[in-house]
Amino acid sequence: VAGGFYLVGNRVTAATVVEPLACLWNPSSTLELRVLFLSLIGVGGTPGQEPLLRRSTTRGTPGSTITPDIDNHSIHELAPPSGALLDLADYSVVPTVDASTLMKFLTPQSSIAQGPGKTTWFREPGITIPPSTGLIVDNVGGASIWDISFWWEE
Amino acid sequence: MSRYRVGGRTVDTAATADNVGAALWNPSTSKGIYVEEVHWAKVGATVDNPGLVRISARGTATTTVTPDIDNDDANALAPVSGALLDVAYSAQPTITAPYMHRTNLAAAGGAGFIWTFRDPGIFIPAGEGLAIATPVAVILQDSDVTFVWSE
Repeated sequence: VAGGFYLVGNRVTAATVVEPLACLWNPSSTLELRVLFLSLIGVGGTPGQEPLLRRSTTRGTPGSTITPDIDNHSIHELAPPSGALLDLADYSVVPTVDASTLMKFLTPQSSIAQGPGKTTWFREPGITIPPSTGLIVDNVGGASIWDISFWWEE
Repeated sequence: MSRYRVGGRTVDTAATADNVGAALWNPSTSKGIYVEEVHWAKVGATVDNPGLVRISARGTATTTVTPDIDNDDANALAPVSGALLDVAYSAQPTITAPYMHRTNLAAAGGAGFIWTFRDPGIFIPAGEGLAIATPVAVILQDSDVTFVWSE
């Protein structure tokens, strides 16, 4: 898709100890996504959270889903042709997550009430999400609350 | 294209979800503008939860900063779009979810962020706006805000 990129963000609450927090899922059978930016900012103030960035090969069944539309397009021209979705915990069926860790968040949620976290630009052309796969923020700590945002192009 | 920047100070919003702290409103009937950066630093030392979202109606602003030729980086031309920075409201704008970005800030004055958007920036069509709002029912603290845009 020529021109512009997409942005979507929401709050996610993870109740269980080990499950994905959120996933940018690419349901397209042909188009790929390229993730340019990720923001993960803690809310809950629970120490010991160390999220991981990983890939997923099945969607699972998310607790809720945000569906980006034309308002999430930087140049306000069209909804994501890929049909990209932001899936959020708590999952009733957990996605299939590849064990390879792309990034480990080095600024885990701490005892500070709000605000600790990480925002990251990925060098061009970004992290590719092939068709029918996802990019997962995995949770390996306890229950936690985060504001999460993805920016991508397709 | 000319690049403009304008800053102002917001007031506390109500503790109501989707209340807007500040918005760059494009009143033009024909000309779109491209937001390149948003700068935000809070005054009040209380946790809050800024989010980036489009607005389709301006609401009623009680405090507005009107950029002029001095807000042009090249000091050559006032914004042709007539773009306005609204920082306080008696009637709320109409937001158009989903939110584009969400974050939260620690209980410390000066906590904030700078968002720099990839070229060509976030397009604001004529008669629409781009806002910083609270997605949750928690006061969005009074804050210093700067928008940078091209048109």
